[in-house]
Amino acid sequence: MSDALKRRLAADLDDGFVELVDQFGGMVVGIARRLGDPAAADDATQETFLRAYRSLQGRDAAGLARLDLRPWIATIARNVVRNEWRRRGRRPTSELRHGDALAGARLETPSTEDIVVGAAGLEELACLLERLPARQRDAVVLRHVIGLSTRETAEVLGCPAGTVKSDVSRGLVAMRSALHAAGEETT
Amino acid sequence: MSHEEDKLAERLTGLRGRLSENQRVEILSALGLVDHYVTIQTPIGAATVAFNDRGISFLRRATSPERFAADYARQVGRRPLTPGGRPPAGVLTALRTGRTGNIRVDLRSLTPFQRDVLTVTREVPVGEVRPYSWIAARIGRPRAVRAVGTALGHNPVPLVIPCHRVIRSDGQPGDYIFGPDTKQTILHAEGVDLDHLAELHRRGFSFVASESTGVFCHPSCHNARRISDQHRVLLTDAAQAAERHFRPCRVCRPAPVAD
Repeated sequence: MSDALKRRLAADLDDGFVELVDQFGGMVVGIARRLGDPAAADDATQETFLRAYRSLQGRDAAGLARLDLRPWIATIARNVVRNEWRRRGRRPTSELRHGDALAGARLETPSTEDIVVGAAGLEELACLLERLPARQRDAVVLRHVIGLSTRETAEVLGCPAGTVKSDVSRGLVAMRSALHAAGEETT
Repeated sequence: MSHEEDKLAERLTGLRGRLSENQRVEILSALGLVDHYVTIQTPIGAATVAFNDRGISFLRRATSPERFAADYARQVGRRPLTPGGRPPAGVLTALRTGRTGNIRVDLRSLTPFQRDVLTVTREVPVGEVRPYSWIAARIGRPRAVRAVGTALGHNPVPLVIPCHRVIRSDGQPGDYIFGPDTKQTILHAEGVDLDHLAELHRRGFSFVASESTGVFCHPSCHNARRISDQHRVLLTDAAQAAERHFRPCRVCRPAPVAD
């Protein structure tokens, strides 16, 4: 499928890019909200696609053929979000340790608008994600919220697949135990 | 991963994002990838025209927004369409006068062949016509006469690109997106005498020449129509023109080769 999209992009960038936004819009929004400040997600999403477009403008057909679009766009999105955090100064985190309770010490609440109404527990999950150490959060979000493969996640994060797997595992374990500590079922 | 972590991983997919329609339009707008559309008056009545900052991308008779959007999607593609905005400057006047050669158009949805055909078609001035074979010769594909006809049938911007000014060699109007009757009506309004052209063809003549200038033209060329009776010569084909030492008109290019 990505090949058909790349052919369209090569034939006419603008024509193909409309389809690219359709295909990867959800992914970029997810990265913007879960790795960045949800309140700034719209701006980050727009910035990501602008950068992707400009980058594609500068590529010839050979350069385009070499791209793996999904992790490539995910990388741009992650960089946009990280730049924003860097620009604002270091982000306050209260890192989740094994056994931490959910309640209390909640520093940032995700905007409720971006959580599907009626989906119980998602707000808590979003909150827990925010409190994970950055590496684990990035890995868990890319692997399980966005649904990238381990290989793609490793490409975006610039680390070996083994590191991705252990970061994902540690992140999930931390979240699970926090949910237990708050008396919640995880099933 | 343990069973519980599997379950947790599954729950996390609930946080997957989705691009709202508003966001999608906003992103594409920022890149100039949204077309706007308005309904305007043209010589054939009300027409709906889509456009972006490259130019006019689509034109059809005004029906309904839904029908327009469907036709647009079929012809042009998946760019979002939104009502409103102002079409490129001068479009209304150009459509009224028929002098549409300078209106910017967006032909990115077409194949290179179709683009070539339509770009050359823009050279035909108001009040004149050319045969399909002339278009084919101009784009360097003299045998692709039928393909030229098909390409003209895919003109996304009729009236702006005057595919109505391309007719059959025998002087019959041929097909048209808005129907052959409309084609005749527009050509008549533009001052083309189709009957005269048909008659010339019946008598075996393709070109008109002037003995005073030594130039030969398509019969509808504005230069041809200025030839006075005493100097007018009728020619059967380019070979005869060459034999009798007439040179081709630089404006209507009656015996064209590709650029």
